[in-house]
Amino acid sequence: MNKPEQYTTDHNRGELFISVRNAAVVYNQKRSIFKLRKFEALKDVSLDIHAGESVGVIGRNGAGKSTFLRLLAGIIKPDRGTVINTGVKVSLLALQVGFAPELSGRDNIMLSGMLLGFSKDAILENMDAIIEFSGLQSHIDVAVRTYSTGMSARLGFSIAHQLHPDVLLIDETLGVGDKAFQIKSSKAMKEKIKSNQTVVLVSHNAQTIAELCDRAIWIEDGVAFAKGLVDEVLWLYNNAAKLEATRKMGKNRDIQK
Amino acid sequence: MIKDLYNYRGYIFYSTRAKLITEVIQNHLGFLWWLLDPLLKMAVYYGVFVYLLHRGTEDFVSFLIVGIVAFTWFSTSVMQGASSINEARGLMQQIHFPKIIVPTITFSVKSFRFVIVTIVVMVFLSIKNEPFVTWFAVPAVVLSQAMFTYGVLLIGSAVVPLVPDVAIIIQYVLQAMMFGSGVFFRIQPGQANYDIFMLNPMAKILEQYREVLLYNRWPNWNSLVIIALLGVFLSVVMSYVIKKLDHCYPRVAR
Repeated sequence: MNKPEQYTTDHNRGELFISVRNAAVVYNQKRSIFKLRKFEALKDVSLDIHAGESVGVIGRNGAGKSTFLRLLAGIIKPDRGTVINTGVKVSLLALQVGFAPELSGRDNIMLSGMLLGFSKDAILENMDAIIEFSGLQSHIDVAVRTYSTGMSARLGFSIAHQLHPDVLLIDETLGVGDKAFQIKSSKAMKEKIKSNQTVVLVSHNAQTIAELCDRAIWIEDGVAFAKGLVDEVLWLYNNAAKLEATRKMGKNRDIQK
Repeated sequence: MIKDLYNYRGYIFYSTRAKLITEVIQNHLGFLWWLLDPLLKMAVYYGVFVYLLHRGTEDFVSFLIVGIVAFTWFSTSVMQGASSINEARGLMQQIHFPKIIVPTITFSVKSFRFVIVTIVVMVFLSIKNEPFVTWFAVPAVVLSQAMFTYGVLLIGSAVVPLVPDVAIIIQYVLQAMMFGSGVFFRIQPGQANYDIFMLNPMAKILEQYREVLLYNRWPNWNSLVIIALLGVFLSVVMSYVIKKLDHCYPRVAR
């Protein structure tokens, strides 16, 4: 398989934000008192994330994408290898991080913002922008308990979006609100990316990554299969998918015979 | 530890407030439950000890209510603290934060509730009798209990995510402590086993509350300081342990 030339855009990359080197994550699954099964979610992944980049993470379900995102967010530490954060504020665009259902939307903005590590002043400064972006003006002083799933998701997105962390991690597989807000949020994300926001986007939709990212990493079975410019990685990913599909079709044909 | 708590003081404050509001508006009687809970407990103990066992010291109502309120603060803090980190699982898997703030929020919720209830109890006592000058020592007793409670609560919260079985053990320990702390009986100096009985810090604490609130005597300052220092020691050690395990909890919590 032809691997794309790695780091072809090295010459114009910004300051190093996060560096992942040969990271592996092993989960212990306890079966009984004596049996301990080890499960390698990530085996060997390396990636550098520089200022202003937008990096797509692609791979199938259970390939280790979410674990990789947790490593980047500093939630867990690798069992082998290293993750170095050069001192930047990373936040997972987590929908509804720690919402208190009995409190108003406004109070929840405060709560979430503080958990994301922002000061009271910074949140108050951005309060109006967050409310406006979420489109929840008429509901903002009502308990979040009364919100629909889509409305809470919109509030969650707006908080992380408006507070500008250094690196924004987005797990697209979680989905954000209704169709109209999806279009709005994806447009907002595109604008962010253009405005030099550093983004890591997890998705199993190659189309989204092609649209939004300039680099990509393809994780399969806990290993970085390919990484580099987005077009090259996606070309490999799509062709591999096709290859797999034809192989499966072939198998089916065999069975039918 | 201090630095983490300081950095997240805003979050701790807002989250405590959120939890208190939730607690109050969750039930129809809301805030009244804060007072009904100790009253109902007292009714049970009073019935059992006065009518069934024909025991009970003089002014048993005041004696019971002081013991119940203070011990409930300790036991509910430790119990909920033990499950607090596991309950924050969803949050931990989405964002990194120092885990010590989770049991700290549990503690501040319970403490706020305790302070309000204690004020009501003191108003009740001052209606029955004139307040004593020794009431000025109440904050010292509260502070000593606060230190001790926080230290014990941190042990549970640090260990339970790793060894869930400890949560069950904690229940038994708390029950044993309730019987062994003199919530509903009194052991006085000079009585057999007094010294052994008072090795239990909660027994000593409850004794001090009653000394200052009911018997117009100053507390045993040495004991209060020793118990507070024990609490500080536990807090420092356990916060160090929790810090070490900060990245481990998101993996093991269930």
